[in-house]
Amino acid sequence: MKKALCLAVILAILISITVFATGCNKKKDTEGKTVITFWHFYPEGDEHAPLIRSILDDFEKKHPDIVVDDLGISFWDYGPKLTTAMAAGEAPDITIGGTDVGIRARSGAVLNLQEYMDKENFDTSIFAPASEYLKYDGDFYGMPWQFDLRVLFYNKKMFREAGLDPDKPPRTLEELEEYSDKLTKKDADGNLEVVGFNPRIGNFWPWTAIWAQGGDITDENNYPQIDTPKNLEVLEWWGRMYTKYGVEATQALESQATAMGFSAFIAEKAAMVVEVNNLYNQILLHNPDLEFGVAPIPYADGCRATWASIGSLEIVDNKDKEKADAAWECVKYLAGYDASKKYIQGTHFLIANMDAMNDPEVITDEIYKGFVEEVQYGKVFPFIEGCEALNAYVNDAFVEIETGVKEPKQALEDAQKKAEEAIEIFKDSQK
Amino acid sequence: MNTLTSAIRNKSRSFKKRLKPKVIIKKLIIHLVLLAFSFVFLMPFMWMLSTALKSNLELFKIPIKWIPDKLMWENFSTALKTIPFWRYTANTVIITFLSVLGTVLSASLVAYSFAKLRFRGRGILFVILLSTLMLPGQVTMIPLFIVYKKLNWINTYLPLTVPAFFGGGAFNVFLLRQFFLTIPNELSESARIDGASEFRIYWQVVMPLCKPALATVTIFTFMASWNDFFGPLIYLTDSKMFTLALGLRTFMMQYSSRWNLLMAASIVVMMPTLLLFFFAQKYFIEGITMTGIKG
Repeated sequence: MKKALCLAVILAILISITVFATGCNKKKDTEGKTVITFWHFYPEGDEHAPLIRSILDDFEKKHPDIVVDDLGISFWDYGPKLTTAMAAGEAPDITIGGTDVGIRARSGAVLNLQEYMDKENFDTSIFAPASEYLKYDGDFYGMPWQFDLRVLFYNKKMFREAGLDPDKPPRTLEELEEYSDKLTKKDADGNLEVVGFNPRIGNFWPWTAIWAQGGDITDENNYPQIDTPKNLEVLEWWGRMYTKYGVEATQALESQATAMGFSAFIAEKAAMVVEVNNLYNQILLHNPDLEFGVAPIPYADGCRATWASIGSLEIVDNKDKEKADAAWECVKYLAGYDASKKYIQGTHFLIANMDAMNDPEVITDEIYKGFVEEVQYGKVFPFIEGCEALNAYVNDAFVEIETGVKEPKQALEDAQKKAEEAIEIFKDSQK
Repeated sequence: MNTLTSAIRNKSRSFKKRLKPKVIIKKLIIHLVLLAFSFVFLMPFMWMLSTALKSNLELFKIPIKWIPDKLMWENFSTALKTIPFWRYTANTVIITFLSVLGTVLSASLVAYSFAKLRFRGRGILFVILLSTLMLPGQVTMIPLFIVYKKLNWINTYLPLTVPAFFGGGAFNVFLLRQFFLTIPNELSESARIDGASEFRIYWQVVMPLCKPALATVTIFTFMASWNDFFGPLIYLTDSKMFTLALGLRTFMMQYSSRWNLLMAASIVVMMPTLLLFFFAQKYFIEGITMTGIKG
């Protein structure tokens, strides 16, 4: 009897705590104010979470009638949480989206921002050219916000040791290969000590190489076009570079890096890598003495290009005009000059607002300047409804060459076939 | 007397036999093999510990150092300060306690019915119950979310705890039912003759005999609830109510991961599960015969 009583008391306490915790959600005085919700990528404890909150506080000071209730969710979990919430009609007012905005625009899940933009003569020319990918049917459905791109990082000390000019990074693929040969070091037993360049180490994906050589994986109508002579040329170069210093040694380095989460460039095991600009922050944290430079991804004349990703702020259609208007004010503020500048200074990340990115107070060093120079060459991965796995089809073709499973021409033709089949299946499903 | 002497002689003979070098070598080899295997299984944990004790500068050093130059014990305190660790721990404890309690009580009750009570449609109901095991979580995710939304339970712990009190999951019911079937019906029948109610038979006769199975269910539920990531992720929208599993993800950012802090926090988070297993493992090997059934 006593035991049962104890159990009941414990249970009552726990349920009270649960109910209490549930009732403690509202932390601000929101009476008479419009409360909007915003889910972003910076959870409590993330080094940038206070910065985002401080930017939102600035917004609230400027708009005392609006309160932003924000929630940080890890980048890796954002998709599943948002998808579930959206499907159940529980989505926040502002979310982070991307170039797949067309799906949400078509279904009416997010609002057309062009109407707000036109009404206020909002100047969209301040944004990076890649922002065009956030349009659906010619209208903006996402406000351009976050931005990243890939550049060539190279180790200046290793350049000097190999007799190369540390201020002259490779400009073409031929130079990249030539420099790589000079920078690669093997020990007495033939084991790879330093790899000059390997396309699989870092964040260099096949389409980035294709674009920088004047090729493409889609035609002018945004339809997959993988099996072209130019792409074949790039694929053959890629296969040669991948196997050049020994497949096993390369795979060992590659799998070590992937499994253990380290960067071969930071560990000074790779002299040159193509990486996302945010590697800069990692270098400062893990190897601040590393002497390095950044340069455009080696390109063919007139074909300078890099793979860029753009994140946008979308307003979910929660059928509440007052909240939608407040969300527009917030979205406009976040993508604006002041907030963007504060964001860059606090994170050292890039952002879509070119005016803020080019502010002399923001460009404080040569490395960051190198990133900003590349923004205009940023190309976004195409989004084709029904063929969302286009990247996998192209990448698989390149893997098949690395592993010697197929002949290059065959690999590209098979990738093309897979992409076309996927589109056909999607079209059938829409009938 | 003769019997006693021969027993002593036999015992002494077997003792001598155990001491034979051949036996010792055989046991030594077995233990060495077992040690080698345990070392293999311990490797991931050793890697976790090694990473947890590394500085930011040493994380990416090659060749890899298993024992860092300077042991960064402060990584543990930094990790626990980076996220609201104690708040998340309290939240996780509440959810886990209620889930375990609900599962053990309700799953055993349902299992008792399927094992010991005779009623029309019992077999079919049991098959339907088992068939729910085949349903992937992805299929029920959104319908469940909508149900909880209609009940106004989103951003509360209710979706994470209340279902445990309503059946406790098909797997647990199945596990306990199989265990209950091994308990002789004579026990409950004699209790029934003595005038015990069905609930009393369940609670005072059958349940005490099922400690090993209940411990197994407790451990499984504890682990599932303590480590549950997806449930809290989709149902909670206030970071103050987040759990440890969600908190650990803070160390994995969009462009990088803070491996040393992640490993330090992960070691602390896994400790309760490890301790529970160490303390409860004897129940795994404890058989029904040890619970006092007389022949």
